Amino acid sequence: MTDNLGKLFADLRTEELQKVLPPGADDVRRTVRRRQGVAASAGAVVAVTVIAGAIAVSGGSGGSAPAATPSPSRSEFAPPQPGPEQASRMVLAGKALGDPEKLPYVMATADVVTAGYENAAIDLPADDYRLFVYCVGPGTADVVLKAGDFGDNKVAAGRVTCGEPPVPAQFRFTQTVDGGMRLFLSGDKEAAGQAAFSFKFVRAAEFKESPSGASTANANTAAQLLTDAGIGGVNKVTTESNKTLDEPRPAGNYLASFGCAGPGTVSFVIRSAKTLRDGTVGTDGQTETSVSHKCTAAGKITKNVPMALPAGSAFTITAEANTAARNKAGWAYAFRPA
Amino acid sequence: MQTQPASFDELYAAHFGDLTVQLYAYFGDRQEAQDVVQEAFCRALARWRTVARYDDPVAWVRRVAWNLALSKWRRARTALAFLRKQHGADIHLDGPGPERVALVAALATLPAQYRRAVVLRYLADLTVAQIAEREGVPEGTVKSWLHRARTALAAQLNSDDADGGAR
Repeated sequence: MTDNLGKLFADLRTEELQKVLPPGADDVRRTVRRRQGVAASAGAVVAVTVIAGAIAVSGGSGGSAPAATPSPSRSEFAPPQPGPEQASRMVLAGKALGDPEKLPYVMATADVVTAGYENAAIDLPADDYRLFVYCVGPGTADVVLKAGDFGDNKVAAGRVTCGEPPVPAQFRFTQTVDGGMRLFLSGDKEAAGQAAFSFKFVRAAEFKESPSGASTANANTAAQLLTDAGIGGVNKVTTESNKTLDEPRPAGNYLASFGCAGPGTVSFVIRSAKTLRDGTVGTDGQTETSVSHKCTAAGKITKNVPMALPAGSAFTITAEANTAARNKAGWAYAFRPA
Repeated sequence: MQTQPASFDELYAAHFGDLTVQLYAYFGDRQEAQDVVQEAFCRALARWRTVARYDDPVAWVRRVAWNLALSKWRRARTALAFLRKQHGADIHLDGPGPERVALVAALATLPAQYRRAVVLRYLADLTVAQIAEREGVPEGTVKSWLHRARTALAAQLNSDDADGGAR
Protein backbone atom coordinates (compact mmCIF):
# COMPACT_ATOMS: atom_id res chain seq x y z
CA MET A 1 0.00 0.00 0.00
CA THR A 2 1.46 3.30 -0.90
CA ASP A 3 1.91 5.54 2.08
CA ASN A 4 0.09 8.64 0.93
CA LEU A 5 -2.97 6.90 -0.40
CA GLY A 6 -2.98 4.56 2.56
CA LYS A 7 -2.85 7.51 4.92
CA LEU A 8 -5.73 9.21 3.12
CA PHE A 9 -7.89 6.11 3.47
CA ALA A 10 -6.85 5.65 7.10
CA ASP A 11 -7.80 9.25 7.84
CA LEU A 12 -11.09 8.82 6.00
CA ARG A 13 -11.86 5.74 8.09
CA THR A 14 -10.99 7.51 11.34
CA GLU A 15 -13.07 10.57 10.53
CA GLU A 16 -16.05 8.69 9.18
CA LEU A 17 -16.19 6.20 12.02
CA GLN A 18 -16.84 9.12 14.35
CA LYS A 19 -19.80 10.19 12.24
CA VAL A 20 -21.48 6.83 11.87
CA LEU A 21 -24.60 6.60 14.00
CA PRO A 22 -25.73 2.98 13.98
CA PRO A 23 -29.51 2.63 14.21
CA GLY A 24 -28.78 -0.22 16.58
CA ALA A 25 -29.24 -3.95 16.87
CA ASP A 26 -32.68 -3.43 18.40
CA ASP A 27 -33.73 -1.59 15.26
CA VAL A 28 -32.58 -4.62 13.27
CA ARG A 29 -34.70 -6.86 15.49
CA ARG A 30 -37.77 -4.69 15.05
CA THR A 31 -37.34 -4.73 11.29
CA VAL A 32 -36.91 -8.48 11.12
CA ARG A 33 -39.89 -9.04 13.41
CA ARG A 34 -42.05 -6.92 11.11
CA ARG A 35 -40.89 -8.75 8.02
CA GLN A 36 -41.23 -12.19 9.44
CA GLY A 37 -44.67 -11.35 10.68
CA VAL A 38 -46.20 -14.47 12.07
CA ALA A 39 -43.88 -17.41 12.46
CA ALA A 40 -45.59 -20.52 13.71
CA SER A 41 -44.28 -23.89 14.62
CA ALA A 42 -46.31 -27.02 14.45
CA GLY A 43 -48.78 -27.23 17.27
CA ALA A 44 -48.12 -23.75 18.59
CA VAL A 45 -51.03 -21.49 19.28
CA VAL A 46 -50.31 -18.30 17.42
CA ALA A 47 -52.66 -15.40 17.02
CA VAL A 48 -52.83 -14.31 13.42
CA THR A 49 -51.90 -10.69 13.31
CA VAL A 50 -51.31 -8.37 10.44
CA ILE A 51 -47.89 -6.87 10.41
CA ALA A 52 -46.63 -4.39 7.88
CA GLY A 53 -43.04 -4.62 6.90
CA ALA A 54 -40.37 -5.66 4.44
CA ILE A 55 -39.14 -3.40 1.75
CA ALA A 56 -41.59 -1.45 -0.33
CA VAL A 57 -39.79 0.05 -3.28
CA SER A 58 -41.48 2.38 -5.71
CA GLY A 59 -41.40 0.44 -8.96
CA GLY A 60 -41.44 3.43 -11.24
CA SER A 61 -43.51 1.61 -13.81
CA GLY A 62 -46.79 3.31 -13.38
CA GLY A 63 -47.70 1.93 -9.98
CA SER A 64 -49.81 4.17 -7.86
CA ALA A 65 -48.19 3.13 -4.62
CA PRO A 66 -47.21 5.97 -2.38
CA ALA A 67 -43.67 7.02 -3.14
CA ALA A 68 -41.26 5.28 -0.83
CA THR A 69 -38.82 7.58 0.82
CA PRO A 70 -35.94 6.65 3.04
CA SER A 71 -36.26 7.69 6.59
CA PRO A 72 -33.15 9.42 7.89
CA SER A 73 -32.84 7.08 10.80
CA ARG A 74 -34.17 3.82 9.46
CA SER A 75 -32.69 1.12 7.35
CA GLU A 76 -35.63 0.59 5.05
CA PHE A 77 -38.28 2.37 3.14
CA ALA A 78 -41.25 3.31 5.16
CA PRO A 79 -44.01 0.93 4.11
CA PRO A 80 -47.12 2.59 2.75
CA GLN A 81 -49.29 3.79 5.59
CA PRO A 82 -52.59 1.99 5.18
CA GLY A 83 -55.77 4.03 5.14
CA PRO A 84 -58.91 2.63 6.73
CA GLU A 85 -59.86 0.69 3.61
CA GLN A 86 -56.39 -0.82 3.14
CA ALA A 87 -56.20 -1.59 6.86
CA SER A 88 -59.49 -3.43 6.61
CA ARG A 89 -58.17 -5.39 3.63
CA MET A 90 -55.00 -6.24 5.56
CA VAL A 91 -57.12 -7.71 8.32
CA LEU A 92 -58.97 -9.83 5.76
CA ALA A 93 -55.69 -10.89 4.15
CA GLY A 94 -54.38 -11.85 7.58
CA LYS A 95 -57.50 -13.87 8.35
CA ALA A 96 -57.19 -15.65 5.02
CA LEU A 97 -54.00 -17.26 6.32
CA GLY A 98 -56.23 -19.51 8.38
CA ASP A 99 -55.83 -21.17 11.71
CA PRO A 100 -52.25 -22.34 12.31
CA GLU A 101 -53.63 -24.93 14.69
CA LYS A 102 -55.26 -26.63 11.73
CA LEU A 103 -52.50 -25.96 9.21
CA PRO A 104 -49.21 -24.88 10.78
CA TYR A 105 -47.21 -22.51 8.67
CA VAL A 106 -43.51 -21.92 8.84
CA MET A 107 -43.80 -18.22 8.15
CA ALA A 108 -46.54 -15.79 7.26
CA THR A 109 -46.95 -12.07 6.95
CA ALA A 110 -49.27 -9.46 5.48
CA ASP A 111 -48.90 -5.97 4.06
CA VAL A 112 -50.27 -3.44 1.62
CA VAL A 113 -49.58 -4.27 -2.04
CA THR A 114 -47.03 -1.97 -3.68
CA ALA A 115 -45.60 -1.77 -7.17
CA GLY A 116 -42.49 -3.46 -5.85
CA TYR A 117 -42.19 -5.44 -2.62
CA GLU A 118 -39.34 -7.64 -1.52
CA ASN A 119 -39.18 -9.75 1.60
CA ALA A 120 -35.74 -11.17 2.23
CA ALA A 121 -36.40 -12.24 5.81
CA ILE A 122 -37.33 -15.76 4.80
CA ASP A 123 -35.18 -18.55 6.16
CA LEU A 124 -36.42 -22.04 5.36
CA PRO A 125 -34.95 -25.44 6.17
CA ALA A 126 -34.58 -27.80 3.23
CA ASP A 127 -37.98 -29.39 2.59
CA ASP A 128 -40.93 -29.47 0.21
CA TYR A 129 -43.22 -26.47 0.64
CA ARG A 130 -46.34 -24.83 -0.56
CA LEU A 131 -46.57 -21.07 -0.78
CA PHE A 132 -50.00 -19.49 -0.51
CA VAL A 133 -50.43 -15.87 -1.56
CA TYR A 134 -53.70 -14.07 -0.85
CA CYS A 135 -54.68 -10.66 -2.17
CA VAL A 136 -57.70 -8.66 -1.02
CA GLY A 137 -58.95 -5.72 -3.07
CA PRO A 138 -58.67 -4.67 -6.70
CA GLY A 139 -56.17 -5.68 -9.38
CA THR A 140 -53.56 -8.37 -9.61
CA ALA A 141 -50.04 -8.90 -8.33
CA ASP A 142 -47.13 -10.84 -9.79
CA VAL A 143 -45.34 -13.15 -7.39
CA VAL A 144 -41.77 -14.39 -7.75
CA LEU A 145 -39.96 -16.55 -5.21
CA LYS A 146 -36.20 -16.85 -5.47
CA ALA A 147 -33.85 -19.13 -3.60
CA GLY A 148 -30.74 -17.68 -2.02
CA ASP A 149 -29.90 -14.26 -0.77
CA PHE A 150 -28.95 -12.99 -4.21
CA GLY A 151 -29.13 -13.98 -7.81
CA ASP A 152 -31.99 -15.05 -9.98
CA ASN A 153 -32.72 -18.62 -8.96
CA LYS A 154 -36.50 -18.55 -9.36
CA VAL A 155 -38.28 -21.44 -7.73
CA ALA A 156 -41.83 -20.21 -8.22
CA ALA A 157 -43.55 -17.47 -10.17
CA GLY A 158 -47.10 -16.59 -11.04
CA ARG A 159 -49.90 -14.13 -10.50
CA VAL A 160 -52.46 -13.72 -7.79
CA THR A 161 -55.77 -12.12 -8.61
CA CYS A 162 -57.04 -9.91 -5.84
CA GLY A 163 -60.61 -10.30 -4.66
CA GLU A 164 -62.93 -10.53 -1.71
CA PRO A 165 -62.89 -13.20 -0.45
CA PRO A 166 -59.35 -13.89 -1.68
CA VAL A 167 -58.60 -17.00 -3.70
CA PRO A 168 -54.99 -17.92 -3.01
CA ALA A 169 -52.36 -18.44 -5.66
CA GLN A 170 -50.56 -21.64 -4.73
CA PHE A 171 -47.02 -22.58 -5.57
CA ARG A 172 -45.20 -25.82 -4.84
CA PHE A 173 -41.45 -25.76 -4.51
CA THR A 174 -38.54 -27.58 -2.96
CA GLN A 175 -35.93 -25.85 -0.83
CA THR A 176 -32.93 -28.02 -1.62
CA VAL A 177 -30.66 -26.66 1.13
CA ASP A 178 -31.26 -24.71 4.31
CA GLY A 179 -31.09 -21.01 3.61
CA GLY A 180 -32.62 -17.72 2.65
CA MET A 181 -35.31 -17.01 0.13
CA ARG A 182 -36.73 -13.80 -1.24
CA LEU A 183 -40.30 -13.14 -2.17
CA PHE A 184 -41.09 -10.38 -4.65
CA LEU A 185 -44.62 -9.12 -5.16
CA SER A 186 -45.48 -6.47 -7.74
CA GLY A 187 -48.97 -5.07 -7.78
CA ASP A 188 -50.49 -3.65 -10.95
CA LYS A 189 -51.87 -0.10 -11.13
CA GLU A 190 -55.16 -1.10 -9.55
CA ALA A 191 -53.66 -3.12 -6.74
CA ALA A 192 -50.65 -0.99 -5.76
CA GLY A 193 -51.40 1.07 -2.71
CA GLN A 194 -54.97 -0.23 -2.57
CA ALA A 195 -55.03 -3.97 -2.14
CA ALA A 196 -53.55 -5.94 0.73
CA PHE A 197 -51.79 -9.27 0.57
CA SER A 198 -50.64 -12.02 2.84
CA PHE A 199 -48.57 -15.10 2.24
CA LYS A 200 -47.62 -18.21 4.14
CA PHE A 201 -45.22 -21.08 3.73
CA VAL A 202 -46.51 -24.51 4.65
CA ARG A 203 -44.52 -27.73 4.75
CA ALA A 204 -45.94 -29.99 2.07
CA ALA A 205 -46.04 -32.88 4.52
CA GLU A 206 -48.34 -30.92 6.81
CA PHE A 207 -50.65 -29.79 4.08
CA LYS A 208 -54.05 -31.38 4.02
CA GLU A 209 -56.23 -30.08 1.27
CA SER A 210 -59.97 -29.93 1.85
CA PRO A 211 -62.16 -31.90 -0.53
CA SER A 212 -63.68 -29.74 -3.22
CA GLY A 213 -67.39 -29.57 -3.93
CA ALA A 214 -66.80 -31.21 -7.30
CA SER A 215 -64.97 -34.13 -5.76
CA THR A 216 -67.72 -34.60 -3.18
CA ALA A 217 -70.40 -34.49 -5.87
CA ASN A 218 -68.53 -37.00 -8.04
CA ALA A 219 -68.08 -39.32 -5.06
CA ASN A 220 -71.86 -39.20 -4.66
CA THR A 221 -72.29 -40.01 -8.36
CA ALA A 222 -69.93 -42.98 -8.14
CA ALA A 223 -71.71 -44.24 -5.02
CA GLN A 224 -75.08 -43.89 -6.67
CA LEU A 225 -73.91 -45.96 -9.65
CA LEU A 226 -72.91 -48.79 -7.31
CA THR A 227 -76.18 -48.53 -5.41
CA ASP A 228 -78.15 -48.60 -8.67
CA ALA A 229 -76.27 -51.79 -9.55
CA GLY A 230 -77.73 -53.39 -6.46
CA ILE A 231 -74.67 -53.10 -4.27
CA GLY A 232 -75.13 -52.12 -0.64
CA GLY A 233 -72.82 -50.78 2.02
CA VAL A 234 -71.17 -48.28 -0.32
CA ASN A 235 -68.46 -45.90 0.96
CA LYS A 236 -67.84 -42.52 -0.72
CA VAL A 237 -64.32 -41.06 -1.03
CA THR A 238 -62.96 -37.76 -2.36
CA THR A 239 -59.65 -37.28 -4.19
CA GLU A 240 -57.96 -34.30 -2.54
CA SER A 241 -55.21 -36.78 -1.65
CA ASN A 242 -54.34 -40.37 -2.40
CA LYS A 243 -55.96 -42.56 0.19
CA THR A 244 -55.67 -46.08 1.52
CA LEU A 245 -58.64 -47.32 3.48
CA ASP A 246 -58.71 -50.42 5.66
CA GLU A 247 -61.65 -52.82 5.63
CA PRO A 248 -61.29 -55.41 8.40
CA ARG A 249 -63.55 -58.38 7.71
CA PRO A 250 -63.91 -61.93 8.89
CA ALA A 251 -62.15 -64.53 6.78
CA GLY A 252 -64.16 -65.57 3.76
CA ASN A 253 -64.98 -64.91 0.14
CA TYR A 254 -66.01 -61.44 -0.93
CA LEU A 255 -67.09 -59.42 -3.92
CA ALA A 256 -65.36 -56.06 -4.31
CA SER A 257 -66.95 -53.24 -6.28
CA PHE A 258 -65.58 -49.80 -6.91
CA GLY A 259 -65.95 -46.93 -9.34
CA CYS A 260 -65.25 -43.28 -9.98
CA ALA A 261 -66.85 -40.23 -11.58
CA GLY A 262 -65.43 -36.97 -12.87
CA PRO A 263 -62.32 -36.07 -14.86
CA GLY A 264 -58.96 -37.83 -15.01
CA THR A 265 -57.88 -41.30 -14.04
CA VAL A 266 -58.13 -43.07 -10.71
CA SER A 267 -56.05 -46.21 -10.13
CA PHE A 268 -57.35 -48.75 -7.62
CA VAL A 269 -55.33 -51.39 -5.84
CA ILE A 270 -56.99 -53.82 -3.43
CA ARG A 271 -54.79 -55.87 -1.15
CA SER A 272 -55.33 -58.37 1.60
CA ALA A 273 -53.07 -57.42 4.48
CA LYS A 274 -52.43 -58.98 7.84
CA THR A 275 -54.03 -57.50 10.89
CA LEU A 276 -51.38 -56.56 13.42
CA ARG A 277 -51.47 -57.39 17.12
CA ASP A 278 -52.63 -53.87 17.96
CA GLY A 279 -55.63 -54.24 15.66
CA THR A 280 -54.27 -52.06 12.88
CA VAL A 281 -53.69 -53.30 9.36
CA GLY A 282 -50.27 -53.86 7.84
CA THR A 283 -49.22 -51.46 5.14
CA ASP A 284 -48.36 -54.14 2.62
CA GLY A 285 -50.03 -57.30 1.51
CA GLN A 286 -50.98 -59.47 -1.41
CA THR A 287 -52.51 -57.58 -4.32
CA GLU A 288 -55.95 -58.99 -5.07
CA THR A 289 -56.78 -56.71 -7.97
CA SER A 290 -55.36 -53.62 -9.64
CA VAL A 291 -57.45 -51.54 -12.06
CA SER A 292 -57.19 -48.03 -13.53
CA HIS A 293 -60.42 -46.25 -14.37
CA LYS A 294 -60.57 -43.39 -16.82
CA CYS A 295 -63.38 -41.66 -15.05
CA THR A 296 -66.29 -39.97 -16.82
CA ALA A 297 -68.91 -37.48 -15.77
CA ALA A 298 -71.53 -40.24 -15.78
CA GLY A 299 -69.21 -42.49 -13.79
CA LYS A 300 -67.59 -45.85 -14.36
CA ILE A 301 -67.66 -48.88 -12.08
CA THR A 302 -66.10 -52.31 -11.73
CA LYS A 303 -68.32 -54.61 -9.79
CA ASN A 304 -68.28 -57.95 -8.06
CA VAL A 305 -64.60 -58.83 -8.33
CA PRO A 306 -64.27 -62.07 -6.34
CA MET A 307 -61.53 -62.30 -3.75
CA ALA A 308 -60.76 -64.34 -0.66
CA LEU A 309 -59.68 -62.96 2.69
CA PRO A 310 -57.58 -65.22 4.95
CA ALA A 311 -58.05 -65.28 8.69
CA GLY A 312 -56.38 -62.48 10.59
CA SER A 313 -56.40 -60.20 7.58
CA ALA A 314 -58.16 -57.11 6.23
CA PHE A 315 -58.72 -55.62 2.84
CA THR A 316 -57.02 -52.36 1.99
CA ILE A 317 -58.15 -50.30 -0.96
CA THR A 318 -55.84 -47.65 -2.33
CA ALA A 319 -56.89 -45.07 -4.91
CA GLU A 320 -54.44 -42.75 -6.62
CA ALA A 321 -55.85 -39.83 -8.60
CA ASN A 322 -53.80 -38.36 -11.42
CA THR A 323 -53.42 -34.59 -11.81
CA ALA A 324 -56.58 -34.24 -13.87
CA ALA A 325 -58.58 -36.15 -11.31
CA ARG A 326 -57.02 -34.62 -8.19
CA ASN A 327 -59.70 -33.09 -5.99
CA LYS A 328 -62.15 -33.11 -8.88
CA ALA A 329 -63.06 -36.75 -9.36
CA GLY A 330 -64.66 -38.84 -6.62
CA TRP A 331 -64.84 -42.55 -5.99
CA ALA A 332 -66.77 -45.17 -4.07
CA TYR A 333 -66.34 -48.79 -3.08
CA ALA A 334 -67.99 -51.68 -1.32
CA PHE A 335 -67.04 -55.15 -0.07
CA ARG A 336 -69.78 -57.70 0.42
CA PRO A 337 -69.79 -61.41 1.16
CA ALA A 338 -69.89 -63.58 -1.96
CA MET B 1 -11.54 -19.26 12.64
CA GLN B 2 -13.50 -18.19 15.67
CA THR B 3 -13.38 -20.44 18.65
CA GLN B 4 -16.59 -19.05 20.07
CA PRO B 5 -19.36 -17.58 17.97
CA ALA B 6 -19.93 -13.88 18.48
CA SER B 7 -23.42 -12.78 19.41
CA PHE B 8 -25.37 -10.79 16.88
CA ASP B 9 -25.08 -7.68 19.04
CA GLU B 10 -21.31 -8.08 19.30
CA LEU B 11 -20.97 -8.49 15.57
CA TYR B 12 -23.17 -5.48 14.95
CA ALA B 13 -21.30 -3.29 17.41
CA ALA B 14 -17.89 -4.32 16.13
CA HIS B 15 -18.51 -4.03 12.40
CA PHE B 16 -21.37 -1.68 11.62
CA GLY B 17 -19.08 1.34 11.55
CA ASP B 18 -16.32 -0.16 9.44
CA LEU B 19 -18.74 -1.60 6.91
CA THR B 20 -20.54 1.73 6.68
CA VAL B 21 -17.30 3.57 6.01
CA GLN B 22 -16.45 1.11 3.25
CA LEU B 23 -19.81 1.54 1.59
CA TYR B 24 -19.64 5.29 2.10
CA ALA B 25 -16.37 5.40 0.22
CA TYR B 26 -18.09 3.46 -2.55
CA PHE B 27 -21.33 5.47 -2.68
CA GLY B 28 -20.09 8.83 -1.53
CA ASP B 29 -23.26 8.99 0.53
CA ARG B 30 -23.16 8.23 4.22
CA GLN B 31 -26.88 7.66 4.66
CA GLU B 32 -27.07 5.28 1.73
CA ALA B 33 -24.09 3.38 3.07
CA GLN B 34 -25.71 3.12 6.47
CA ASP B 35 -29.01 1.94 4.97
CA VAL B 36 -27.30 -0.80 3.01
CA VAL B 37 -25.29 -2.02 5.99
CA GLN B 38 -28.33 -1.96 8.23
CA GLU B 39 -30.22 -3.99 5.63
CA ALA B 40 -27.37 -6.49 5.47
CA PHE B 41 -27.53 -6.94 9.25
CA CYS B 42 -31.31 -7.39 9.00
CA ARG B 43 -30.77 -10.24 6.57
CA ALA B 44 -28.10 -11.71 8.82
CA LEU B 45 -30.41 -11.66 11.83
CA ALA B 46 -33.24 -13.22 9.81
CA ARG B 47 -31.05 -16.29 9.34
CA TRP B 48 -28.78 -15.89 12.30
CA ARG B 49 -28.85 -19.55 13.27
CA THR B 50 -27.11 -20.28 9.98
CA VAL B 51 -24.89 -17.22 9.74
CA ALA B 52 -23.64 -17.56 13.31
CA ARG B 53 -22.20 -20.97 12.45
CA TYR B 54 -20.01 -19.57 9.70
CA ASP B 55 -16.30 -19.26 10.40
CA ASP B 56 -16.47 -15.57 9.54
CA PRO B 57 -20.01 -14.17 9.86
CA VAL B 58 -18.83 -10.64 9.13
CA ALA B 59 -17.64 -11.80 5.72
CA TRP B 60 -21.21 -12.90 5.03
CA VAL B 61 -22.58 -9.54 6.14
CA ARG B 62 -19.98 -7.69 4.06
CA ARG B 63 -20.83 -9.76 1.00
CA VAL B 64 -24.54 -9.12 1.47
CA ALA B 65 -23.93 -5.40 1.94
CA TRP B 66 -21.86 -5.17 -1.20
CA ASN B 67 -24.29 -7.24 -3.19
CA LEU B 68 -27.10 -5.02 -2.01
CA ALA B 69 -25.05 -2.03 -3.04
CA LEU B 70 -24.87 -3.42 -6.55
CA SER B 71 -28.44 -4.64 -6.69
CA LYS B 72 -31.73 -3.20 -7.71
CA TRP B 73 -32.51 -2.84 -4.03
CA ARG B 74 -30.24 0.13 -3.82
CA ARG B 75 -30.39 1.30 -7.41
CA ALA B 76 -34.11 1.85 -7.07
CA ARG B 77 -33.44 4.19 -4.21
CA THR B 78 -30.37 6.08 -5.15
CA ALA B 79 -30.06 6.21 -8.90
CA LEU B 80 -30.52 9.93 -9.10
CA ALA B 81 -28.19 10.75 -6.27
CA PHE B 82 -25.55 8.44 -7.63
CA LEU B 83 -25.73 9.87 -11.13
CA ARG B 84 -25.34 13.30 -9.69
CA LYS B 85 -22.19 12.25 -7.90
CA GLN B 86 -20.84 10.43 -10.94
CA HIS B 87 -20.97 13.73 -12.74
CA GLY B 88 -19.15 15.34 -9.89
CA ALA B 89 -21.80 17.92 -9.23
CA ASP B 90 -23.20 19.10 -5.97
CA ILE B 91 -21.13 16.94 -3.70
CA HIS B 92 -22.00 17.93 -0.20
CA LEU B 93 -20.21 16.21 2.61
CA ASP B 94 -20.74 17.16 6.15
CA GLY B 95 -17.49 17.34 7.97
CA PRO B 96 -14.54 15.65 6.28
CA GLY B 97 -11.51 17.76 5.61
CA PRO B 98 -10.73 18.84 2.07
CA GLU B 99 -8.42 15.90 1.42
CA ARG B 100 -11.07 13.38 2.35
CA VAL B 101 -13.66 15.23 0.29
CA ALA B 102 -11.26 15.09 -2.61
CA LEU B 103 -10.62 11.39 -2.04
CA VAL B 104 -14.32 10.53 -2.00
CA ALA B 105 -14.91 12.67 -5.06
CA ALA B 106 -11.99 11.04 -6.85
CA LEU B 107 -13.29 7.58 -5.95
CA ALA B 108 -16.63 8.47 -7.50
CA THR B 109 -14.96 8.98 -10.86
CA LEU B 110 -13.52 5.46 -10.93
CA PRO B 111 -15.23 2.60 -12.75
CA ALA B 112 -17.27 0.59 -10.28
CA GLN B 113 -14.97 -2.44 -10.28
CA TYR B 114 -11.88 -0.34 -9.62
CA ARG B 115 -13.71 1.51 -6.89
CA ARG B 116 -14.82 -1.71 -5.22
CA ALA B 117 -11.35 -3.17 -5.40
CA VAL B 118 -9.66 -0.15 -3.90
CA VAL B 119 -12.23 0.19 -1.12
CA LEU B 120 -12.01 -3.48 -0.24
CA ARG B 121 -8.25 -3.28 -0.29
CA TYR B 122 -7.70 -0.06 1.65
CA LEU B 123 -10.74 0.10 3.91
CA ALA B 124 -11.80 -3.52 4.37
CA ASP B 125 -8.16 -4.65 4.47
CA LEU B 126 -8.87 -7.60 2.23
CA THR B 127 -5.96 -9.20 0.44
CA VAL B 128 -5.79 -9.34 -3.33
CA ALA B 129 -6.65 -13.03 -3.11
CA GLN B 130 -9.74 -12.32 -1.01
CA ILE B 131 -10.91 -9.61 -3.38
CA ALA B 132 -10.34 -11.91 -6.33
CA GLU B 133 -12.41 -14.62 -4.70
CA ARG B 134 -15.16 -12.18 -3.82
CA GLU B 135 -15.28 -10.74 -7.32
CA GLY B 136 -14.85 -14.09 -9.03
CA VAL B 137 -11.85 -12.98 -11.07
CA PRO B 138 -8.16 -13.97 -11.18
CA GLU B 139 -5.80 -12.26 -8.78
CA GLY B 140 -3.99 -10.67 -11.70
CA THR B 141 -7.19 -8.90 -12.66
CA VAL B 142 -7.53 -7.45 -9.19
CA LYS B 143 -3.92 -6.29 -9.24
CA SER B 144 -4.61 -4.61 -12.55
CA TRP B 145 -7.74 -2.92 -11.18
CA LEU B 146 -5.82 -1.70 -8.14
CA HIS B 147 -2.97 -0.39 -10.24
CA ARG B 148 -5.32 1.48 -12.56
CA ALA B 149 -7.32 2.76 -9.61
CA ARG B 150 -4.23 4.06 -7.87
CA THR B 151 -3.05 5.71 -11.06
CA ALA B 152 -6.41 7.37 -11.60
CA LEU B 153 -6.69 8.44 -7.98
CA ALA B 154 -3.19 9.84 -8.01
CA ALA B 155 -4.00 11.84 -11.09
CA GLN B 156 -7.22 13.07 -9.53
CA LEU B 157 -5.54 13.96 -6.29
CA ASN B 158 -2.56 15.43 -8.07
CA SER B 159 -0.47 13.00 -6.18
CA ASP B 160 2.71 11.15 -7.01
CA ASP B 161 1.17 8.14 -5.42
CA ALA B 162 0.57 6.28 -8.62
CA ASP B 163 2.17 2.98 -7.90
CA GLY B 164 2.67 0.63 -5.06
CA GLY B 165 2.55 -2.96 -4.17
CA ALA B 166 -0.37 -5.11 -3.36
CA ARG B 167 -0.25 -7.86 -0.88
